[in-house]
Amino acid sequence: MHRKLVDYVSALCGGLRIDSRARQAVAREFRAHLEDHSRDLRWRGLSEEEACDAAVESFGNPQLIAEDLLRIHSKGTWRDAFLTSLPHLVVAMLLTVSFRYGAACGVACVLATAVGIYHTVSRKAPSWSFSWMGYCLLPFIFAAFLLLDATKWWTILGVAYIPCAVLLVVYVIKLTASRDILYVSLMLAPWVVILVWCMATQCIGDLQTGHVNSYELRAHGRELVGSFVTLAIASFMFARIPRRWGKALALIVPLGVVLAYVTLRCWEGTSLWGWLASALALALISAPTLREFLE
Amino acid sequence: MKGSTDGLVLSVISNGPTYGYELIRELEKRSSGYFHFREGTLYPALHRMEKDGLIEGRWQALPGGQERRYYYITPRGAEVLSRQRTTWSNFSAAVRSVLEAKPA
Repeated sequence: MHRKLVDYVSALCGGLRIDSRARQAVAREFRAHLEDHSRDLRWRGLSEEEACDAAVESFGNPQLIAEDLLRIHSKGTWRDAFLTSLPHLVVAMLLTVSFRYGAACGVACVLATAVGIYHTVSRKAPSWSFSWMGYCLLPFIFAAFLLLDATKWWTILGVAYIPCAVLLVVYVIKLTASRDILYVSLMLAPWVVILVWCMATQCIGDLQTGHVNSYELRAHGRELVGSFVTLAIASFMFARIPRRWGKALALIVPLGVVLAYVTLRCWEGTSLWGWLASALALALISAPTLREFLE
Repeated sequence: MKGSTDGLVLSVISNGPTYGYELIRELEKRSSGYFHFREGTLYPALHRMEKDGLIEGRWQALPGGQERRYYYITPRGAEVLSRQRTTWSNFSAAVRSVLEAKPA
């Protein structure tokens, strides 16, 4: 295949931040088209260089085509949107039905881990799987808190475990960012909600002892469920909206509202430093999306 | 124009599976050169229609080793095409009757 055609397809697909398999299929299809067109033009008497130039020119501006394709491929189907919001709905439902937080987290973690394994093994990485991946990583984070307990002999394990857990999380975030940086925000969104509630109910310290006092959590049961339902709606909108800045707003605005609501409701129950930390977490999650606005 | 593009593309694909390059040539031929779709217009339209379930793309290997993505019309696409044909037929008949009406 002529270098000009290869370069054109690379320029077009380089800006196409979609599922890698879909991107490869687009590249294959466009290469086949350009080859057909340039061959046709050569039969009509054009030189190879002229035929390639004409075929590329006929295709049009690669950036504009990539933008059009990105908009089409970014808009999830109703099924995608439902599956994106499903993990948050499952958590909200489990909290509502049983109000046994340990059981709720356990079932959600098992489900999320199953989806995470499927995600990793199949290498298909459908767009909806990123909201599940956020929950899939949570057990690794909670395990670090348990190992930090200074009164237990297994704290020594934390010294080896925590760097491994951090490396795993960084690796998954890096993989996700290579696919699309907006999915990092989608993946980490439940972390903000969980972090805010853990600090509001002061159960982060309890995690280290392994004895979470659910009294505080029960006292804010409805708001807690409401937070996950809000997250489910935000994720649903994220999946359905085709434009990238729209996706960013659909996710960040509801998260900001949840954070503000919990701050107002539970201000007395936690420290200023805690709220600064949660605001920082929200800012970090918003960072990838801010890039979209700057562009 | 979006609706017209869908109808034109569906009409060609309904005659048999077609790939992008052939589709552009066929539209040009059938319209006697009136419609010249640029690839940058056609492919986003094809991908959108596939996402909407109107057409389905399948890879086929040719004897020479080359691969092409052929598009097939789906039952839903055939339904949409049928509706568009009826709408266009009614519209063109109405326009014709107004334009060609002789003064009383």
